[in-house]
Amino acid sequence: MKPAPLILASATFVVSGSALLIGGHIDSDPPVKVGPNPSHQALPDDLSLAVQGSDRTEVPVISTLPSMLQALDQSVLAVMNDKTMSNEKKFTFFWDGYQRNKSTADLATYYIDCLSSIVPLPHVEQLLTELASPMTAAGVKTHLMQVLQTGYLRENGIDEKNRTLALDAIRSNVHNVDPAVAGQAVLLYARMGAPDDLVAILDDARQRKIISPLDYLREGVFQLPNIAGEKQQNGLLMTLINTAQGNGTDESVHMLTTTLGLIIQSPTRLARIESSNRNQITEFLASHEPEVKSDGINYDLVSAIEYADWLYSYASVKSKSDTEALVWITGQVTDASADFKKIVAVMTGPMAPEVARMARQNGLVDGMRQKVQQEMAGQRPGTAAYSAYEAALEILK
Amino acid sequence: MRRQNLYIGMITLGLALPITAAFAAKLAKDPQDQSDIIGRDLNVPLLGAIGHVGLWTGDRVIEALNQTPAIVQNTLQDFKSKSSYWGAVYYSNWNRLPAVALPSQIMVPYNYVLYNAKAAAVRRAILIQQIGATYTVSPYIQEAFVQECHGLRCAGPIPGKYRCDTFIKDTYLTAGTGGLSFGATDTPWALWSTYTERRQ
Repeated sequence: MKPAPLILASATFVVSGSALLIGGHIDSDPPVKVGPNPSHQALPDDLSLAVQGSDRTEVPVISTLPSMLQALDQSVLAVMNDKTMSNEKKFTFFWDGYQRNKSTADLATYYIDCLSSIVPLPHVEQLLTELASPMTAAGVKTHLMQVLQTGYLRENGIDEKNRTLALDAIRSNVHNVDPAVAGQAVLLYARMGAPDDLVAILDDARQRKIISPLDYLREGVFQLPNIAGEKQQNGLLMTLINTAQGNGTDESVHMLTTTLGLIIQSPTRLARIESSNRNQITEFLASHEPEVKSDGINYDLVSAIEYADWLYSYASVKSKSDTEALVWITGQVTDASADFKKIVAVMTGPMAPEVARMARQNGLVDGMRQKVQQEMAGQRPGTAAYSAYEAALEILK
Repeated sequence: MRRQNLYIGMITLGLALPITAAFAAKLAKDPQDQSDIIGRDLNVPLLGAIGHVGLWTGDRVIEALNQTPAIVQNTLQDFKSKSSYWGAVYYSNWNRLPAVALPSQIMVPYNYVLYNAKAAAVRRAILIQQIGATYTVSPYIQEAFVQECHGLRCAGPIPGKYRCDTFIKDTYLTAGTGGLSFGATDTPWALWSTYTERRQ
């Protein structure tokens, strides 16, 4: 049986990145041999190149394309890891790969993404020109902007002159007619310092629906401490709360809760939140206590970490000092009615050593240990629950 | 000849997908512990054998998908429903690894919290999700970095760039598995099948 027609169909799929395109290829004749063979015309150039040197003349249908992709990975990783190769040459290798595969969406962005491995990145002007060109595909533009942003954020990623040009180029794309490009530009721009126009750009993007409510919530919260003036800050806070609650999904509330936690856990940022707005944040957090998920066998480490972060954030925002927050958290987990799941969760959090120390000083740590040990007795090693309990007991020693 | 090849192609196409699905269905059972790696066929026709992998947290899956944002949490049921499911594998030497100190959050100032290695992989996955990441089909790993300040100059947090297998690789390397487990050019399938310890 000759597998070649299917190989062609597979390759065409990768090229198009859309529906399977068999017509016009499946009946190709003669069959394609894998290896340096002139009948490779139908394969993307770089997949053909990647398998040259193989001594196989035919390969099983199922493994052919994955093998080709793996060989391609090997070739680009060899370039990335070559310490004797100059950045100029690396740039040329990846840029030429992109130019050869412009019509193949996945392969084009494959090579563009590889450019981020070069530090410092030369020829930024070529990326800027490509980004500005109306001939460049939207999918490629989003990846070009990602490379520029990475260079901008890295120490010595790109030179000073090009840093400004990269920022301007990404900024100008927030109004790109293609919503995917515009949305990506907004999200990249949001992480490039704290430009004065960012809050307005985020709000505009939210209204135009070029970024998701989740993205808006995350980036909006990060900007909250940067807004001067109680009223203006409150305006953004209320928009965030309304977006989270109005979106009608647990995911949105979850995003706002966890991201607010990141702000609150930073004393310098928390100090920039006006007192009336702190009260509103306290109220919001109080009404959205996360659940620690455990059914006795499965103990969800993510929900445990999130609970611990929430508890720490809530304590911090409602307390006047770190000590007051610590006393309150310790009280929550040493109380006779404290749920063992929450004890285990707090032991995964940022305050674990301090809480354990205070509980020990107050002679309450044995009670905490007993609750966890009691639950652990019914577990066998190798389950998520057992691992979580074991880790908590280690801290409560 | 042309017509004959057409039939051969159709037959091969018809057989290829069920073969991988039937084979994979018997590989391993569901995950049991934190940081188990779960796998399934890549949900792309004819590329299923490349595979897709995710990290088990004890109750959900964290995975890198070709979407924005790239790092997402899903249920096991959702993961299993997308394509032929391989089951879970695990690293048997977690307990021999030292504890790992990870930042308590993504922006300065932060504490460092000690995690046992197995939990550190999950914690790193959450940090990457909080920092943000985009998806790439390339093998290049752009690590997501928490914010760092040197004097008055602060950089980051810097978003990462991952595909599903390099995302897992980052979390495992952070947890201290070192070069024990991976080749530089593993496909998701190769990464998953590196582990001989399969959930039964």
